[in-house]
Amino acid sequence: MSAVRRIAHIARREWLELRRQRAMLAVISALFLAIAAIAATALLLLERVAAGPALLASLAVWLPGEGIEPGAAVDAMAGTVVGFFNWLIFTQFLGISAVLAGHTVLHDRQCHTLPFLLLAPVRRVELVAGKVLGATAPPFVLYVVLSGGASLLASSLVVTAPYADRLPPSPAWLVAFFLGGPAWSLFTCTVCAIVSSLSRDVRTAQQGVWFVMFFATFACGFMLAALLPEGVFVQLGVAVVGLTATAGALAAGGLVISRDLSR
Amino acid sequence: MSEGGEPIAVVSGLGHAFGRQAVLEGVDLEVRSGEVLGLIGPNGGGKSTLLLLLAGLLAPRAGEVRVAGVPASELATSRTGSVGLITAQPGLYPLLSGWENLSFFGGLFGMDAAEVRRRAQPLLRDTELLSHAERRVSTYSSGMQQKLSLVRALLLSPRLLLLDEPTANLDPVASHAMHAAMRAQADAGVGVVLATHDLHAAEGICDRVVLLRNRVLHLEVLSGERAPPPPGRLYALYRDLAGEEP
Repeated sequence: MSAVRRIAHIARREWLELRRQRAMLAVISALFLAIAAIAATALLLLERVAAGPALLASLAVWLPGEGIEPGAAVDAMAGTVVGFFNWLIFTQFLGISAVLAGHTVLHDRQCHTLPFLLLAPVRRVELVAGKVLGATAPPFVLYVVLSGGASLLASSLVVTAPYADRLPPSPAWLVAFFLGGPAWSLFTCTVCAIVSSLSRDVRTAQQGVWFVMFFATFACGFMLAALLPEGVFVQLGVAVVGLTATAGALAAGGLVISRDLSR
Repeated sequence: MSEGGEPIAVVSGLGHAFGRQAVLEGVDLEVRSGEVLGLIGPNGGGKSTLLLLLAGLLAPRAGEVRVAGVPASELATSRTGSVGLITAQPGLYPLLSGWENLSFFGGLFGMDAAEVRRRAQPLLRDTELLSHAERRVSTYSSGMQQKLSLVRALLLSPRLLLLDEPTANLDPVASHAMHAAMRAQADAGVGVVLATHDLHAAEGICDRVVLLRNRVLHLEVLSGERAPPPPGRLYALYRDLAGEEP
């Protein structure tokens, strides 16, 4: 059995167990839907304002200072909403995946399955890789369907037209959404899974996972969203760096964790 | 029992410590095929650590452990599947069915689903789990989970079976079944090591019993005198009233 098949075998089990946790899937879906709903509400409101001369005139009265053109203000607000929406969907996807990946090792500790996994001819790096892939799969499906769907909806609005480079089907967005996001998600998941497997008990594992997850997801989410206007090549670079960082994290994990159950 | 069985596991000068806390020192031991070796001793005496060292799940600080001629630390990578392990906690995935658990763990050793079924079917039948194998493990009783753990351990036809308090959470009927299965494995030529606090059971099913205390393997307290005590009246009454597993 090749390493790839062993990793796929472990990932399949993780996926099977995660998709049977309907309450958890509902919570993740609700998070993605809430973000989509907030962004959609804000953008639809701006669309309505932009489309109505009376509302634009009212906006001119409400705007502080002089010389601010209401149409430009609506554009700026739409840009802020799009940027914030992108940052949130990346951050949520990365954060949820990282928590699930960290929890997969905790789950094995709780179920006392770790000794039986380590008896098998599977390297710990393969174990971590399989768990990370399996843990990333359910949020990835929901991220593609719900966040991807909401992004398509946002791109169909007139008010978001000036920001087409940050929404689908722009090449930069496609690369960031389907390659960069998953690549950096795999990185944060790998780090969290390794931190979790190095911890001696559930509590210390959780502390480590939350610490890494908080900074890593916010930073990675910000990077992915902020670099969208820079174009497809920059996004490709971001994705390649993410995949390289994942490979590095796995290799480092192989050095610091071993088959010895006490470490 | 076959006292003259070939050595399956050979432990020599074994020492281990967790941090600065020494757990085992200078342990020499041999486990032969066809015998049940009992490990008894107080809590913290090193019984579980010795089993983990035998399974290759801990790296010894001193000495050597060889199982089937292979250093224990290389057991997993040698892909022989020569060690089966059963612990007090069954170590199963609760949201997966019995079959799915077996398929997963068998798959880690390169078995496909068909091979797992072929090997597991008679074992599941013997343990009366066959009709429950499609159910999720979370619906199993403790006894059923431990039986499934036994089936998993036997799936690879191990030469050495390690059991750490396997009946700690079981009722008397399930305990009796577990002990019978252990004995049957030994009679089939498997080397069995049982760490237990149940002295009555140890006396009944073990061919040899050694005492671990203060990090050192002290003495062989029982050797070649196995005499299974007849089940008491209370056990018979309990078995009749409690009946089979749900």
